[in-house]
Amino acid sequence: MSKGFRQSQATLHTWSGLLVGWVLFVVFVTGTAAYWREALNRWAQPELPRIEEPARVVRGAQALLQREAPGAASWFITVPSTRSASGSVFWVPGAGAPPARGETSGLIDANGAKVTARETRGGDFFYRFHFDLHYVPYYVSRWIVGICAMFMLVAILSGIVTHKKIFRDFFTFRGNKGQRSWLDGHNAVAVLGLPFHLMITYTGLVTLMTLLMPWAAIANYTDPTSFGRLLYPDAPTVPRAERPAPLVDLATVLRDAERRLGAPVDFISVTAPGDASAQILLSQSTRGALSSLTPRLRYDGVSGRLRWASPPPGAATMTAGAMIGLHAGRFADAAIRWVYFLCGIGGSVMVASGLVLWSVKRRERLPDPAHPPFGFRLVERLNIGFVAGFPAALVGFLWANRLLPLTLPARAEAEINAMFVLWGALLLHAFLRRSRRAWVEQLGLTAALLLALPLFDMLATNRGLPATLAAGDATLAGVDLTLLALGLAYAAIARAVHAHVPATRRTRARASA
Amino acid sequence: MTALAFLASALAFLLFGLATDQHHGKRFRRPCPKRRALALRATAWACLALAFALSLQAWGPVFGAIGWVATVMSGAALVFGGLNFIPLSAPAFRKG
Repeated sequence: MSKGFRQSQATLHTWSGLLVGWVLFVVFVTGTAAYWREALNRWAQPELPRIEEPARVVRGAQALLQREAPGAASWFITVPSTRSASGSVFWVPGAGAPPARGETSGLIDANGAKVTARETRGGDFFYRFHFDLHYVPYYVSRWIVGICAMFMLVAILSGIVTHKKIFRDFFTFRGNKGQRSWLDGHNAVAVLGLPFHLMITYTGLVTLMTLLMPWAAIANYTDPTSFGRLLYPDAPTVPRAERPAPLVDLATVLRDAERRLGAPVDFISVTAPGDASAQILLSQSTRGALSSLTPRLRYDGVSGRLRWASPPPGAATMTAGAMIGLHAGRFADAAIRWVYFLCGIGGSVMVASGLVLWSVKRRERLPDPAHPPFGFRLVERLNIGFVAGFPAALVGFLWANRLLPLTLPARAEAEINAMFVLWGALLLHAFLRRSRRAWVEQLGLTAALLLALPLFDMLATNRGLPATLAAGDATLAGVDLTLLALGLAYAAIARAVHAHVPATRRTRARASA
Repeated sequence: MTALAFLASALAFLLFGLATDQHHGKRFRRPCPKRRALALRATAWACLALAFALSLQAWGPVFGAIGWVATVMSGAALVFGGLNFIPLSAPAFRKG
């Protein structure tokens, strides 16, 4: 391979990484947190009891809907797992029904009762932010994230070409050597997690493929709904009979569907409940299935007999479904989920170290280190505001979940606004302080916020670490222990940056000794 | 079974790591002899194959392959950290 080719790939790697690195970092960090979406949902609503028997929640949901929306056009019920915070229902009022007074949705707790919990986006915020960002229309953010993911794929592939000694330097780390150590560290997190980084970037693009490359569908289908129906065939519609008939017990139908599917169900919809034409559609959960496109079954709502099963998907649909499933990792048990999470941290560190490496490399070559050019300063400050500031702001979001008054109007949005206000303040701080001080202060703040959160929970809620450990609640205890571990890691990094003596000062000190 | 799969992968990378002059030298104060390096690498490959079989046992045929990659990445990362950051009890061998 010629030197010219490798050099061109190195340049491509540097600039494709730098230009989109900041967006990639926030996408990576929120995606990593989203692997604990359900755990964070539970953490964010500590007032809800833990779900031990999902069928009981479904029975409660049916009772609630029969009481509050007997004549609805349709009901929708999310079936929780033992990892979920709660079940939920919503309904579409029937034609001719008086306009809905108040809510057409509700939360169902572990005992099947309707509850009101604090209004929060919880772990769902991290999940949505990962591809929809915030304050931006979703199609704009998905284009931004999609283009950045494309750059990421370019950066990974050109990075493999640039890093010529992948196997020879596999176990190499040369510490305390300035730029060399940064490069070794960047290479290590990149190479050790390479299967994950390649998979996650490619499959991430697959999740957005119909948005990024719509032409095949546009050219072949004049009507976008016919394309959708072909991909995801639906059961034939049944006209309303206008004859009342009692609805079968949903928990019984649920049990039968789960037996037939051999997997749990996570969503039930009922059309025309209370009518003789009622139909119950159950969708298999993605837990325990690799493909994210899972089969569905439809039952007669009065007799409870199976009426329709979705046809097996074609090979291409199955491939896309498996890739999306691999990306989201919903199938993962605890061990694989932890590896997903650690790989996500590895990916975030890879992007962060790449960004920092850009300025470390150029700092050593600056003609006048006291007055760096504008471009250098901009990158350096953005690095601080993103790499150190963004995680701090995310922990700020968790703090807002605990501290904002429970009765605050639009509370869920206020939590998110609090996160952005903190992040904005930290970006400003990064531009105002000297760079090393800014790094130490922001990393230290992240550490303090992380470490104090489990302590606050111990004092202010009945779901503190001792309580969750005693109850054997591994999910909530796991969240608190992870926050503590991350806090200790941030504290160690802040300390190391604080104690670090830059190479130039070291040589000067040696010369004067 | 899951734990054994993770262990087998970690052991594989420990052997791969010790087969390099750099880490063999650091731990045993001499470069790795050629025949020993070959034996270490062969055992390491056998451990990776064992980890694959154990992963299939633990997670079944579909998730087993994914689980195996998970054990490989975490085994490699664990050994990378261990070899580079666990301090030596004796002074390191330096090549040259």
